[in-house]
Amino acid sequence: MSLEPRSTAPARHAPCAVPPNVLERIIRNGTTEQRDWALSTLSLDATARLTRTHNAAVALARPRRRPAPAPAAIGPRRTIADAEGREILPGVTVRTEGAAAVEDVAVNEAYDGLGATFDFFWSTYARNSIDDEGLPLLATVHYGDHYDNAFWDGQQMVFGDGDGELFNRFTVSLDIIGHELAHGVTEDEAGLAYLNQPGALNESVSDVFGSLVKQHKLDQKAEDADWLIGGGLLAPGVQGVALRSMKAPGTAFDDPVLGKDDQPDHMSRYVYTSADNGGVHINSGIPNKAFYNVATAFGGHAWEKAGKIWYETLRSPVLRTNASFRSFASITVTQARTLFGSDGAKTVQEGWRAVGVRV
Amino acid sequence: MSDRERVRVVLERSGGFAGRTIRRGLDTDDLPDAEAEALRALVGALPAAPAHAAGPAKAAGPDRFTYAVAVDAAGHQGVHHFADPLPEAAKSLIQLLSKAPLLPAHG
Ligand SMILES: [Zn+2]
Repeated sequence: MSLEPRSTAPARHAPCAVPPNVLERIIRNGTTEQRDWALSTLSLDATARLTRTHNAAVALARPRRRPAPAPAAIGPRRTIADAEGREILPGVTVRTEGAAAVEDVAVNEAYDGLGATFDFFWSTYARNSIDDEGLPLLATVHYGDHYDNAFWDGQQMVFGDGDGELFNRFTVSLDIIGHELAHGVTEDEAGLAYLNQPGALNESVSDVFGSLVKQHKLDQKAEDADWLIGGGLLAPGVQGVALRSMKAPGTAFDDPVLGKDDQPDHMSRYVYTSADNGGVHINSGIPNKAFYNVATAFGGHAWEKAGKIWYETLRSPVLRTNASFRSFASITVTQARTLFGSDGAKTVQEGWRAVGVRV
Repeated sequence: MSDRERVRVVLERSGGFAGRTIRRGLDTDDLPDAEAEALRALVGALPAAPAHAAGPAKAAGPDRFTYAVAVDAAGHQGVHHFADPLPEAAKSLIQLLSKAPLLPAHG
């Protein structure tokens, strides 16, 4: 079996080089024949973003017969459910949007974390939820028995209570909640394959936005943030401060059971392994450190420049599902130039070069 | 599998949000009779071990777990690879091993 992402990830782009915005223009202004061609070309691309572009273009091309429904108020539309220790989703609803806090701390942490993450994406990048179409946010807490994980299953968030020996409850840290919801955003926008370099980029993008959600909530500047992922998650007695450090990859923990944090901070120490889908949680240290370099070089609120550049990179139609560190990095440089001029591009270039990614 | 036969099982769980490989294990020699018997039954219910060594399973999605269950018993030796969602035949054994004593990390 080949593990090359090229063979597992479907091609993301229509087999023609016409950018979607040009196709859109053809749909609006072209002849019937041109319009049909452009619509079918757009529909070959399976990503959700281009599907939306396609649908919007179809709506423009064919006038509505019915008036559009009134847009719902923008907001996270949260539902928190309780799996009561079983591995069944979604479980019993325990708190809905606007309802008062309950006694259960995991329920409130999930509710607040989903709210902070929604607020981050909406107020900084005008993104309306995971899918940018106002997807209501559903989270299940108390999933499984001593369950050591949190994940986005493609439709909802799932949080375990942790085993208490190694890990505490997974709602404990806001960057974990932001990390998991960011997996939903990445899946929607870029579909980065979860293997080797694109997988490590997928992980890194989640750490980046997870950390930014926390920094935004705390109103921290890049130079004041701790850049830790999963602070508070390690159970008492485990030797470490968090699961990952974006500022200093490889230094978050050193424990007899957990092992030593082995995240590299430079391409020369890239880890080749068949475990963890090619070490996606290990090699993410390299792009994590690059982001930290860029964010601190710009200074100020990291979401304003570095975060904006990474967000637009994720949305870029030229980002492929099997992107390498280098191809991702080169798109960040292009986005930086567009958004912040040649000085911005230089800052981003230097951030990547410091971790051994040549751009 | 006979009543008194020694069975040792080590679970290596990889991936997850933490992305760490966590090892836990059980040994019938260390268990009360009833629990030892339950462990033998769960190991006996596993699907046949692959004829040749297979690589790790691929995670079903971001931050999902993969599992390697190493069995050491007279009539049954080998490593079984699984990913979430688990097959029924492996679910109870992995749930049991997920609460077993921790073993030191490799390396
Ligand atoms: Zn992740």
